[in-house]
Amino acid sequence: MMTERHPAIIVFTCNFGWGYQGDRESLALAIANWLPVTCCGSIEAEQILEAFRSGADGILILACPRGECHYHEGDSQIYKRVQLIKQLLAAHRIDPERLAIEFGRDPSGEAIPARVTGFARRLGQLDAPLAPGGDA
Amino acid sequence: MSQARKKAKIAIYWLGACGGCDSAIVDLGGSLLELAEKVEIVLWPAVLDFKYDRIRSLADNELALTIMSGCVRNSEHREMAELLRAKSRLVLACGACACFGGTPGLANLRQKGDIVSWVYGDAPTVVNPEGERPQPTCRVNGAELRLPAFYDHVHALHQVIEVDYYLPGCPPPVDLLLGAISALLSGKLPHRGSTLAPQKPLCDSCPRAASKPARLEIRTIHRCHEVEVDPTDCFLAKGVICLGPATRGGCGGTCLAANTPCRGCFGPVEGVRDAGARFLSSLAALIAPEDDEKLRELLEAIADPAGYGCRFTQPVSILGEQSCADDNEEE
Ligand code: SF4
Ligand code: SF4
Repeated sequence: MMTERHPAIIVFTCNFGWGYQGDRESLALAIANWLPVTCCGSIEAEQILEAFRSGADGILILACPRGECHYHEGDSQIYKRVQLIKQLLAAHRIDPERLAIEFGRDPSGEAIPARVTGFARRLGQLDAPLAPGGDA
Repeated sequence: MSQARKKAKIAIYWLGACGGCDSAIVDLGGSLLELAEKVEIVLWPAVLDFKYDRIRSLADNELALTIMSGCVRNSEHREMAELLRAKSRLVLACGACACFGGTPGLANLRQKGDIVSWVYGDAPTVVNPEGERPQPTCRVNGAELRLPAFYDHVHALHQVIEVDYYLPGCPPPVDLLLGAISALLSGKLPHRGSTLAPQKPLCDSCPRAASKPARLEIRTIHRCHEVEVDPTDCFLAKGVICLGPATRGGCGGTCLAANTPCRGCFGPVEGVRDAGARFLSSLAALIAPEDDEKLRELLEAIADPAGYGCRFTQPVSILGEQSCADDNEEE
């Protein structure tokens, strides 16, 4: 069941890889629910689950390229954490595709809105989410 | 009035429970007999025969303590929990089911309709050609019989009534059980709402912890029936999933002593919001593959990560928590 409303997407980006040279204010206007973090490795499983619980349609994590984490291994830590959390989401009938992690670098941050739009398009192709734990 | 030395009255009750918690109370042995000298047990369905009307006829707060085990899944559980709450000065949630929803809470990973279809139809051992389903009411010999309503979800006790104290475990160990009952009857009450068990993770008191390398890295995953771990070795260090790092200690390590890894029945350590999420995060951090291909293999080798994360605590988890008021009373 597809509705016209914009999906609520939470976007985490790493400050060392994404948008650090760009104009923060205009980026913040262009990216709804943007949460820049000092390292994607610091994003807690609980934060991700709370976001879904509060009604997020999807969570997009933009991390640094594999092996290029400023703190050495934040990229691989968040990757592993995301893979296991996806299983928890699936068990609760939340499509694991709603949690995505992409690796790359974009100092200006100009590519972030397009990444979000691409993610929103992919979300639009998924079945409507169920309320966590709810009966259909 | 002059019955000056009136014994304190207590109740021991099971909701959606297996009886294991009641067995643990029976295992108090001699201490239970001493307790029975000091208090009057007005209700204990697992062991003694009493009528609910007797409980209904008590004054509010007349019971010094009710020890309640089990989860809340139907309207009878809720009715009894509410009745005993009204009659009791203190309520102890006893065991993983009462504290967190327990293993029955895994049923929340399926929808109610699917559970009913499986149990009364699709399971290979079921013969039900008429497709009978339990009905909330039926007539037998002219009388109407009613079944409790089956709720949409499994709930932990505090989602239904106010709980004063928590004692986790599946079932709780005898020493903590005795300590809890003595403390609660002595009037020297711990901070209300507290969990009457140590605050630190199980690993801190595990004798196998000594064999843990300083930097633990998991490079292979085995299920516990696939390898025999030396009784002094840390399970995680050998690639066997153990929930010790994320689970409250105090169980006495009975599973570890039987060469079986921890499954998390004591719930999260103090202050942790979501036991399963915390465990999966800590497990993810330990996985140390050589490359991405190996990482995929390792992650796939973890059989049912969500099951590990939800085994005892799904109904109180971030994704699983549901208020009982939202559950339908009727079908
Ligand atoms: S906590 Fe364990 S022993 Fe107690 S009722 Fe639940 S399943 Fe049974
Ligand atoms: S992970 Fe398990 S076996 Fe290892 S120290 Fe902790 S409780 Fe003991």
